Amino acid sequence: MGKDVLTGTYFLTGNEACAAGALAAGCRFFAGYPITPSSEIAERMSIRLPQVGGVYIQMEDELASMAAILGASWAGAKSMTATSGPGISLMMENIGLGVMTETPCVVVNVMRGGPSTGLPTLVGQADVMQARWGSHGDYEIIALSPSSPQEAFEYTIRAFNLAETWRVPVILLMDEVVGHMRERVVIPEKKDIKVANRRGPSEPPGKFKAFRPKKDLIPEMPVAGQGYAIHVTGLTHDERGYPAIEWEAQEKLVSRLVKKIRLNSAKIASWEETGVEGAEIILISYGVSTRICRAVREMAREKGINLGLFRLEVIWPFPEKRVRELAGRVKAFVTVEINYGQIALEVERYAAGKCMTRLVGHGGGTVHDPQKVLEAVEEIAS
Amino acid sequence: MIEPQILDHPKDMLLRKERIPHIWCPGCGLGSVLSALVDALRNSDLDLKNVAVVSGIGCTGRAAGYLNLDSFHTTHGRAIPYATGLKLANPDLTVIVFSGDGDLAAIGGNHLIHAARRNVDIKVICVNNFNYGMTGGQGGPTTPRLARTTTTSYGNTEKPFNLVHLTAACGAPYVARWTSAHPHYMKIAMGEMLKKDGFSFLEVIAPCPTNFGRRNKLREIKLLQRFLEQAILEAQPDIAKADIELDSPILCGKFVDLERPSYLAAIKETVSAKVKVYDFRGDGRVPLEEAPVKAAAAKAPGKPAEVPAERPIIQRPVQIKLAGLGGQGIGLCGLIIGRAAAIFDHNQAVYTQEYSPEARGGASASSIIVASGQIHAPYVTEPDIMVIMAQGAYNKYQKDVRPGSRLIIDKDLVRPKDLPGSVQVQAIPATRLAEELGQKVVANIVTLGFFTALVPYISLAAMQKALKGSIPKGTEELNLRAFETGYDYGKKMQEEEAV
Repeated sequence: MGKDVLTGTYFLTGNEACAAGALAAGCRFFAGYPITPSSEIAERMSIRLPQVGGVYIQMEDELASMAAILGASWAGAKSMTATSGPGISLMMENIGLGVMTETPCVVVNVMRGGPSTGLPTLVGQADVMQARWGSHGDYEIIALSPSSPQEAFEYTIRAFNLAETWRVPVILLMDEVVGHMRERVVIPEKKDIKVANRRGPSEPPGKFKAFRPKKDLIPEMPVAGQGYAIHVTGLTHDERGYPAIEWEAQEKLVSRLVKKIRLNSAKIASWEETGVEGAEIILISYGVSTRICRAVREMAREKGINLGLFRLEVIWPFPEKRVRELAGRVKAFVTVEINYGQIALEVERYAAGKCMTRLVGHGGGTVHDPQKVLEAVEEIAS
Repeated sequence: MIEPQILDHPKDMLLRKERIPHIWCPGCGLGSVLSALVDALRNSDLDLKNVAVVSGIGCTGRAAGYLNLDSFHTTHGRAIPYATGLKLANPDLTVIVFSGDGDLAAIGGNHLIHAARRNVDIKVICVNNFNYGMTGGQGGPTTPRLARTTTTSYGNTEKPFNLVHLTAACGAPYVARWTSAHPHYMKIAMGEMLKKDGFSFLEVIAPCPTNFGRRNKLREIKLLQRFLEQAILEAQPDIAKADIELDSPILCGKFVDLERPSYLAAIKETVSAKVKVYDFRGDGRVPLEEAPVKAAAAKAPGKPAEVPAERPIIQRPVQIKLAGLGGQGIGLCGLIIGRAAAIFDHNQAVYTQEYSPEARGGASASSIIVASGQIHAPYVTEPDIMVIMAQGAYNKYQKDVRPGSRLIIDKDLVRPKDLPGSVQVQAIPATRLAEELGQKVVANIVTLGFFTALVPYISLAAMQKALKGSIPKGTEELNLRAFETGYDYGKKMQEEEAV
């Protein structure tokens, strides 16, 4: 059997690092369909999975890819798919099935410019709201956004751990720049990598109910072949997993699916603050735009502007409590993202009029010009 | 008086009794099909713990929920890919897809043909009742011509799928068709499918008296009666004649039963020959051996080893852009520079590449930023150094040449013109030198050596190490000679300039 963690120092693209992270997290099943700019993840998985006893399969489309990783997860494998643009739109239906059936899995979206075919080879960050609510119905989901190849490695492991812990599809919102750029990536020893696994059933078959939640609102998860005769359905269901087409069952189930993320958001949400204490203005960003904001901070310091950076590591659930707190202490939030205001609207919502909110956004195809961001900051500071 | 004793029905063990009564209408064929499957499973020697059933959406889609097995009621059309994931992630499972004609042949039609082509070992039971029953009897991909449904009030004008012909054409190694009026033959077919290693397809023609029958003068029992009277049972039926018309006979029997390696069997055979895996199961459930720790990495786990003495200190990020024509290996040069700086010099490096839809040809560029501190913005916007290996690339990227920057070119292939002021041009006949070494293809490595001699931001040792790790085995000697040739040329040029 080959090694799943190739400890060492490398110069990798974000996509290659993502594949390495998946293997380190225990992923043993990948189903995908080629699409730029995510294809390198599939290519790498197709080479590496057979070396560690896993399975790679190229499906006929993204609908099938997403369905296959759900099936694989219920057979006990940690599973993943990777896509972009039109592909992630096609996956939305079965992401909803994953949410409804509480199926741990990881969906990588290497964001490119859209809508539609848009900019296949160029960057975008406009799938943030789609990641949250792109499938029909009401739900909460987890999404993370790495800003470097090293983080692509680490966040992929985090994504699997979050999926296994909270039993929800986790979306890794990479972007084309992070996916394709190369940087040093240090892969630690296997023993230093923390891996979480789903909680299996604590009771024998018979009395056990596959969708009865424990205190943390997460049910224990049996898989096919364990003798539990589980029933898993995308219909609204009761604790046995049986369809229950009535409002009471809907209320019980869907409110739990939402609450299990919202009430646990203190354990899930994650962000990085740089120079936020005492800052006059705070930049809010994620993914590749974080890197631009770091450059802007350095430029602002030279001009004597006290600029903080609030960087979302986990985008969903959004760190609403912390943003509310900070809103009372600063003059303005400036959200920097490659779209026309998706996180900016969230920021505005939680700032709730307590400070100015601005967006520096554009439609995609390139990263921000740090100068433009600086100008927006200077305008507020003056 | 003897108290009547109520015994369990022998089929009960496979049914979720608490979910009965089912939702199916009186006269519907689905009960017979489900019952036949229960019998086939009881008669099989399978460990039922390892049998999983997957359904899509529709009346037939509810079948999974009535079976006391691991059962999955998925999205419309996606039962087959879902089942594919289940099977491949745990090959011990016997995976049955039980769904309807609309689900499997319309919205899921693409999955059906690809699963048959791949020969994934799943057993597909497709109950064909000629219409969408659950949603009120609309026409679908199997509705016979001229049949009336709620969406074909004037008679259906489309040609229906001949599903057995379709799946056989896609390579399914087992294909059969029966009607729900033939429980005995259904059972036999299902039994054979359960034993088959490969994609097996059974179409069961079933009555939908409530919707299809009612609108086509085939109410209640009449439809089933028609199946019994008009079915042609043949030992070796001709698949091309298996089309179904509104009043045609229905050709039944086993159309295909052949041996073809299943998807997993084929993977095992091919992969096992090329990858060192022990007891390949294809599900990742084999316990992994502890990964041996690399000696070098063991010294400082998670951190780079000691910083080399010759590490160049780069105070502010230096932007480098390399451009050439497709095939000149300009991307590899950038990669080696990045590896040298990031891995061996312990500096930071960011490498980006232009992506265009052309797979080959045309001018392309790769960019590297190197610095000792953090590099934030990833793109090269104002190159400090440009390396250009072809005129076509020069013409395309000339706009990026900045005053005061350094331009490294192939002396014979690039004629710089309209240069901004104070550009330091350094030229090497890289392609010619490479040809003298016997391989024009190493012109990029000659240029890389030249670059290393002139540019102070990457150490020679780091570049040599990165070069060794980045070239194909067996070409080391040639590449090292190419690198030295370029390096010596550069050093000599520097000395001459100094004089």
